[in-house]
Amino acid sequence: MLSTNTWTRREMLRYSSLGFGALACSELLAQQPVSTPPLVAPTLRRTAHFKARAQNVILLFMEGAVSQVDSYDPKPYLSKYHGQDPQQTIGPLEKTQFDNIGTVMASPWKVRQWGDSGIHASELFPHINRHMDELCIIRSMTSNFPEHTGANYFFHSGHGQQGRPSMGSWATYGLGTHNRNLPSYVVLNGGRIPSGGLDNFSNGFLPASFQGSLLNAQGTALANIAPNETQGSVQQIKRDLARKLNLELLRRSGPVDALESAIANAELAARMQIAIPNLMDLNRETKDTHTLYGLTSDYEHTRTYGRACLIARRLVESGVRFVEVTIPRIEGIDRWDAHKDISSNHRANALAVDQPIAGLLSDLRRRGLLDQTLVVWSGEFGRTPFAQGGTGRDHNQLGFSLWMAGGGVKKGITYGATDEWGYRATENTLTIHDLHATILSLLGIDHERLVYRFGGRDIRLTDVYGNIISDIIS
Amino acid sequence: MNRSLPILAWFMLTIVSSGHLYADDRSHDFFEQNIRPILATRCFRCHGPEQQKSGLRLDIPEGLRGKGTFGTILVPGDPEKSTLYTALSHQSPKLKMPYQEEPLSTVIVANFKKWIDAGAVWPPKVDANTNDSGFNYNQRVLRLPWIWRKPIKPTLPSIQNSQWPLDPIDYFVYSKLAKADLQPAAEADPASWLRRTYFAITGLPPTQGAIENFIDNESPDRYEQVTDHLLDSPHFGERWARHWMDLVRYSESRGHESDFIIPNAYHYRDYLIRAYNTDLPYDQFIREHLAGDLLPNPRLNPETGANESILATAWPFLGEEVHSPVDIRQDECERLDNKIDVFSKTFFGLTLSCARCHDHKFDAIPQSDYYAMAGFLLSSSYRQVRFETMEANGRIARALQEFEHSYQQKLRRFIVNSFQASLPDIKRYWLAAAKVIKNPSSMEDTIHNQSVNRKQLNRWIDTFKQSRDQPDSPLYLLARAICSDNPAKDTPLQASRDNWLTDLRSPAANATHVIADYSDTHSTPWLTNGFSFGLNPRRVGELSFSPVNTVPVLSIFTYGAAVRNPDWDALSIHQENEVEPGAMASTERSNGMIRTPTVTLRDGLIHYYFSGKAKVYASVASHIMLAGPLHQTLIKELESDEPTWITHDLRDYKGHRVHFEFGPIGSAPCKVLQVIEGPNPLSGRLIANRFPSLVNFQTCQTLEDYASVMHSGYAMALKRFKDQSHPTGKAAKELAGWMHWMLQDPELFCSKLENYRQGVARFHKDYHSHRANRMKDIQLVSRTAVAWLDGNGVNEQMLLRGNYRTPDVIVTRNAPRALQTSLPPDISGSGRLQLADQMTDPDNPLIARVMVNRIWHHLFGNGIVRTVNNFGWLGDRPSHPELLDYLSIVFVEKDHWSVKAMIRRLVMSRTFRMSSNPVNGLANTVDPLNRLLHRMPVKRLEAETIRDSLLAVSGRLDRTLFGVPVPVHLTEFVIGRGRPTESGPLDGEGRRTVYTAVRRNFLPTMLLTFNMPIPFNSIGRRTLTNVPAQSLALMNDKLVYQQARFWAERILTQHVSENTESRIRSMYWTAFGRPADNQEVDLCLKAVTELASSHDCDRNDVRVWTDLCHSLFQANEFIYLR
Repeated sequence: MLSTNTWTRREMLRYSSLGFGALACSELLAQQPVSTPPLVAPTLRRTAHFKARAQNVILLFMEGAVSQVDSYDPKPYLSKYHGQDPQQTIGPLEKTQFDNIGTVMASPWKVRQWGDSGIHASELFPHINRHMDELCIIRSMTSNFPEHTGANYFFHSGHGQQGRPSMGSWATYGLGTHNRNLPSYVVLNGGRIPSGGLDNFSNGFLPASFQGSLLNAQGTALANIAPNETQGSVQQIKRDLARKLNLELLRRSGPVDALESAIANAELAARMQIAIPNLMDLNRETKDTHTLYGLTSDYEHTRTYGRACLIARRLVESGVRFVEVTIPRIEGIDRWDAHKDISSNHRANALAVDQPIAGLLSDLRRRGLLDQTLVVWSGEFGRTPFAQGGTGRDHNQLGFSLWMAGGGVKKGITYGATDEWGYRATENTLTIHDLHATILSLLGIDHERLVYRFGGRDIRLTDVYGNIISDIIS
Repeated sequence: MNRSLPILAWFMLTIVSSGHLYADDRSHDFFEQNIRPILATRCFRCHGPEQQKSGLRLDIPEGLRGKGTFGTILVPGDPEKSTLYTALSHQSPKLKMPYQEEPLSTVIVANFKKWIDAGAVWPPKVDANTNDSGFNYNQRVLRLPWIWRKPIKPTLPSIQNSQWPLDPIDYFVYSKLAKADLQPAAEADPASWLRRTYFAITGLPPTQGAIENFIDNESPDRYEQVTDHLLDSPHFGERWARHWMDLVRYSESRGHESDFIIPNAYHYRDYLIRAYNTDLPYDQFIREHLAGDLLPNPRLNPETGANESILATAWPFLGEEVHSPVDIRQDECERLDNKIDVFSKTFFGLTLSCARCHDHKFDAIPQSDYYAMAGFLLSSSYRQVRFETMEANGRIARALQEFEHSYQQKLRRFIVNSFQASLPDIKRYWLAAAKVIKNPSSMEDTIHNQSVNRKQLNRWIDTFKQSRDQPDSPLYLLARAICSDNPAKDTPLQASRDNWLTDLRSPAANATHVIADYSDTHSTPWLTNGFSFGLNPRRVGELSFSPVNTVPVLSIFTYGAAVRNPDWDALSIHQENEVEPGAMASTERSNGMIRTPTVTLRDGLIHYYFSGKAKVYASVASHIMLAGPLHQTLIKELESDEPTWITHDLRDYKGHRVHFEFGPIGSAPCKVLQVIEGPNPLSGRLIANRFPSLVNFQTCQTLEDYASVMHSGYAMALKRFKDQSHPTGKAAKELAGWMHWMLQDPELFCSKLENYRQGVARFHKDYHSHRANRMKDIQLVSRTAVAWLDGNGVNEQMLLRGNYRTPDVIVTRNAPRALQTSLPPDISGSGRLQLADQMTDPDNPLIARVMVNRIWHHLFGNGIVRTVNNFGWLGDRPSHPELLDYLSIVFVEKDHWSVKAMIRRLVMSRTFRMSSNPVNGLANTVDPLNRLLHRMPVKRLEAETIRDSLLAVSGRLDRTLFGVPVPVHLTEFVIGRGRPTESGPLDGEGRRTVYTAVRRNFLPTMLLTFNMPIPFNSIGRRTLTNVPAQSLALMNDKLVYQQARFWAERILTQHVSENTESRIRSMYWTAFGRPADNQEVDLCLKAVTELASSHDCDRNDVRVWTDLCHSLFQANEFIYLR
């Protein structure tokens, strides 16, 4: 448990009446041996286990799986052995999703060195790569699940099936929020919800206040945020009446925490009705910023994703702890899941996300937010160095790449490696649990001490695994 | 090699195996990953705990010590001197292992070499009683003795205030409070009690009329009247079924990537509602959940005659399923884990799934308990069952079988009588035919001298002329002898005679193993879904007729087989029925499916001996879906007019468990004879056309010899056929083959052919009319539901650290050890029925306790044990242990497992009548969590109850029971792959929430906001949050606003002439179940005025009242229950 603070609910309520507007998780504060909490209100900012390098996380989730050998882990062998039988060259292969193994396939993208660090990467992401000296590239990730849904659940929750809390839920459960008017874990829907659905952002068995709140980057941002009433005065009258009736009930019932919390929640809800539309209103941003994020691009999906990235910045600026941005829905392109034609698939996706992500990094840096914001860019696994059938690549969980930037990670480095083919991680092999342990530690949380009692045992995000990747922490 | 190394290694092995010294982890990992799995899958069957062929046992390190029959078994450090290695590497000509199976791959053999080279390290084994993780079984039992022992009848505590209690329950509660110097809360006012009781029992609010009646009722038993009335209401079942649905993670779709449907899952929901409404005793409820498909006398729906019990067995299949798992065994382990978790939490209140990887860290649950339970699940498979018609049609199937049996005797007598007449003459015809064939001109003389019929003689002559060139013909040798000038000197004839019998081949000789053999009645368990294949295989020698309205032909089964009976062709499924998603849809298996026992694939080449047309599904690793790129080869279409060997290549699935399901296609015939695994395609036939036990020509020389042998074979065949003693095995096949031959050519054997033909026609007509008479009652159309189909007994292998790549010893199916039961050893099927009997024995310490505690939890907000799904060490201790024991005993002994009686008991108690206001401030300080029950808690209504209340209050509620789920209303926030194509209506047609579709990945947003659980695991106690999203939902959700409008319209229509104040007072009754006080009325009146002014409209305008109704929905009192 995080805090030895022994505030009572009464004191909390007093605090909330001073304007905080919410009660904290009683079971965290009072250390009661309760398996599931009674009534729980939203989050309170709490103290971390140790010094936090990052205050916030932005996860840029590249669902469908970006090919590592076509992006951040280029391999000359693929050109050298292009067209040959991988069973002969690479050796025995693991079964793949489609099990339609073609020949070794060279990357369609040129490779060059970027920045002062001179890191090799393809030209798939020219905008992002201009920030190469900010990036910490990991080339030795692995996953346990070779198909999307299981891998997505695993990437998000450390467990391959639905039902466990997502890392965003754990982070906010551990740290609470800075912002009183917004949820602490927000998923910005760029248009495409990862396979496995909203359960990827589930609070699992944690209280519902820790679930990822889905905000649409386009259209209505949040369920039930738009008032039914067209006249503000009508809503005000109704809210006042409900509030007074609530106080009447409280008078009848005597002090009851649940009823008091519900009153506070109604107030927070009213504030959210104002805060969220403000947040989504990008007219307050300069023209220069719009251009930076690609909001003026000719390509519709760059504009969509740019909008999501810009809102992500506004969210962390407002103190939201954990933001995940999902990729846009592009007609005829199935996520990054390039089973058929790697070239057209990755080109379409990269065109959508490259400029907005680069813009986000620039913007965070110039506002001084990058140091306290950890940006994580990753898919759920990688792709095979050999073709699936003709020109696609199948799923590969044995080795893939991701990058992080800001928030206390080293800059302009690579860590870990795959074999000559980019097929299996061979050096400093990392698991998703290691990634989780590291993200939590950057936020100041000890992953072994962040536990929740459920179904008879103390459960962690990292289960019984996970090592902090201390080599990449600055 | 260094000579001292083996000695050192031996030393290590000895010490290591006694568990004191650990070699480093890497060598342990190497063993667990590369050696033990191979030993377990390829060696244990013959050299393990059950069998030790040649005295060798390979599942324990001690078994590898010393000398075996062929030399020292293992010399650590020296593979070449280790028999284990030389046998596995096939170096020794004497001994090649695995015995008569495909050799191990070179990689595996190399691993064994590596392992022995490195000293043959065998990691220390954890002992079942005490081990390094500190698991001591006996200590564990003693740690929480109360949960493992039968409840003990407590004495009633004596208390000071004898006025307070209304029921023994109250004594226990009061006594605890008194010990803490606390007073119970005052009695709640009747209206509060009534509202509380309505929600507790039916989940719906009382109407204004009901409340007024109750308050005006001065009868002393008005509490009882209301309680009984509510328990009789059909809405009781809806409310309590939903509680149970949380436990079994009820869903109508399979979640995962595309959220495929679980076809027809809602019958389980309706089953629950009916079970609660009819007050099905809980022990029977559990029996049906564990073995509803196996009960000798299932419960029938009194109205429809449908099998009710079998519906309970849907629960295992309501979990998540992956449509195309890359690693099918890993996926099976995850599915099993979920089922065992649900199983153990729901029925036992224990967390058995902790023991997947290791002995339980805190409870008396060894790891083997987990795998002992897994066996029950693996021994049964998924099916869609025709539950509505199975009982009625089962009776018809049994009657048809009986009729068939009696008719067989009649037909046999008729045949023998028809053929016997020719017996004295027939040899004469053969010898006459011989003469004429050798000397055609002797025809007339022969007819005259031998007094034979010309036509008949010609028939025989023609037959012999043909048969002499047909080595397959039964007459072949006789025909050769007849056509030969001198049989005794005829060398080719003699050669054929000598080879004649050696040509009989058994196809099974070529097999690795026989998976199913329906050609032999007794060897294979008969596992079918429906009755199209009858109640057992057709036996060799059974007679059968051509179908009705065809030329009457009588024939005989020359081989046994599982045969689809066309009588059932007209079966169809109800138009409401949902179809299996993916490729499984193409095989409609509820009309008639036969499955083989479950086996483990060795080589993976499967051969079906089959005729007709069918789709076979190889159900690998108990997988039930085929909807992705992988595993499409598991379905194969079979087609052949004659019994033929068809090969199914499943080599990709070597080492996996599998069973085979044959589903006929359309009305095509389907005969399954054998399913065999073997390295090569098979040849050979099962149909006998040579009859060594009837005719043996070995010593024949002359024509007379041949004819005598043939003749006596003929006589013997008729005699045996007439006798009731039915031969078995080879003799049966020979006899059937002989009779088949005769029935094909009755002209040769019947002296009165016309009589025979007329007889056959008469029987044919009679047979079919008798059957038609029985079959007219077949119920053709049925709905289907998810259910278990029992298979053969399968025991699971223990997995080291829960990892499916490291299997260990086999664990026999059983209940958890601490329940101290054991199944009889001679169980043929899954054993679930026996398990059900043992679990519902009143001596079982957990079943009743866990259920009573759940009922308490739902009524009082907290269980006596608050962790209702975990009675173990990490759960909570009971707040009132004696009370829990008392209730458990009453539940079983007095209430006879009646859930309604138990609810009634609790609701009628003084404890349940307490107000939610504590009697003084002290109580909250001393007992802040209300563990001692100093008052009733304030409870938030559950998600479903909130929605149901909205509908009830607005007047929109449609009280229809049961049926096809109402589709989820899709908002822009209900998104993802597999999203239903059509959105349901906003108000769900006004139906109660329990009838809203439960699509795992597309749950209704508002219900989720109010903590409807995502159905992934057993939930006994819902999380109840209190978050702003809930306020937002009540403020802005379209449904809430729509219902406010309905309510407003209703108020304005029903109370046309009334003034604003009386309308407001009435609304208070409806929404909050109590009268409004004056201050509240004033607040509402003021709001009405303000709203009218804001809208710039009349006070009677519907907009004003919609807003007022909407405000009341937003008030806490609407969703909080005092």
